[in-house]
Amino acid sequence: MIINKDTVDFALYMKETDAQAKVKSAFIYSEALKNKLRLKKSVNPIVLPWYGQKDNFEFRKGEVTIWAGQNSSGKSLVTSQIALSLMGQGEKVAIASFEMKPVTTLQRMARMWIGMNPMAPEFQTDEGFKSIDDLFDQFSYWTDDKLWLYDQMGAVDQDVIIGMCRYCAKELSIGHIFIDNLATCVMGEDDMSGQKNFVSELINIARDYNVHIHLVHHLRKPSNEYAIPNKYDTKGSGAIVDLVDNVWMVWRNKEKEDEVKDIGPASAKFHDADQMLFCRKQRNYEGSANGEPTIKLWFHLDAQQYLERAGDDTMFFPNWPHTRSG
Amino acid sequence: MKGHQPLIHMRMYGKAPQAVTIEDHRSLNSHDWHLFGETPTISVYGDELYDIDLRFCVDLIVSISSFSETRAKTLFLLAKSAKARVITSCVLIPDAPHWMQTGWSDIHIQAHTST
Repeated sequence: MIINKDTVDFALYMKETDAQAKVKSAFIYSEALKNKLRLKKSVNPIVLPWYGQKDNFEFRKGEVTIWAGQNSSGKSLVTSQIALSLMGQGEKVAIASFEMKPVTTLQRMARMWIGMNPMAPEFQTDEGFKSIDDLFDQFSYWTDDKLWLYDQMGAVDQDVIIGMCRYCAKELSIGHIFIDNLATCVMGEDDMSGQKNFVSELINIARDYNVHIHLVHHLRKPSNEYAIPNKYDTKGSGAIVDLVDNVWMVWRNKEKEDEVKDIGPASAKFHDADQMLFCRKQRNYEGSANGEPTIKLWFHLDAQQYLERAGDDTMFFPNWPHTRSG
Repeated sequence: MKGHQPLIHMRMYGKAPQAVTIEDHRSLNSHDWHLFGETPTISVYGDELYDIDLRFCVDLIVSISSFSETRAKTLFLLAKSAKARVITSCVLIPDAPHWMQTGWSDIHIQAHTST
């Protein structure tokens, strides 16, 4: 190799062209574009647990999804069911719930997974305990190398959460991280810029490490308890909804619950859905179905699962689709 | 990208080789060319084209080869926008002998750069 004195002040050239290097001709992306279309056809998308919605929504890598709802609207139950479904679809999941102990989170998920109420009278015998123990063992084996839980409750420093997300994505190759919820990560409901910065940081992590981050968020107090929310009802900085890729509103039909409690099956709302999920934003939807679906769900009390139709069989998470026959 | 860091270091210290080879296929010496005084060899095999920064090619003679015409053309454009002095880029036809290589090729000669 012949080495000469450089005729270019290379350090200066690099500095001066730093911005120019980021302005790229569209032609450069043609290969990536073709690959993306090809990939789209060959790779199974990661979807919602409800089979009827498989073409309407996709959990893409590198995105952030918000799950917003009022207090006790079922956000954590819905996200737990989604986490189980993601594992059933072959994804690794981490859950950071700052409102529930890991064992409580697991207890809920285990009940969903076995599809029965372990506290039901028929299981309160020696034989019953044994069969529940066996099922819980099966659940534990199934979650091995699929599920991780972050063990901390109450308020948490947002830098710690950011670090946890990086660790999960980089070291454990986890594909989906659930953070429940935003209020515990950012001190002060009126700290708009803090919330915006935290969500921006999550978006960067999702893109840099190609993970999907699910962020649970609360809604403002509604005008009445039965009101159906929209995306502008989210608490805190409005920028949060602008920044994230997907927004789901979780709504529990309390009006039906109250009426059925009062008058039973005579209620006109008896056959209405127990829970509704409203997709208010899906930024990168490319399908030809409904990209912002509204999903009606019926609650199976024993299994604590939300089902697509009243009377449907409970979900069997080890298979996808989540039926016993797969 | 492999093999570009020693070249960047060299240029940061005010030294420049006459030429650089950019290989878009499995490269035998992109990882250790600098240890044996060989012509700088950079491998871009498997890299996304939009992530490739060829600014270390400024004012150098650059030889590019790829098995893909799209990639050979794009690497040619990238070297051109990085102000390489002379660029040759060609598509290699797999398993064909040298005299049967009839794929796309192009040459570009740029006026002298000074910064």
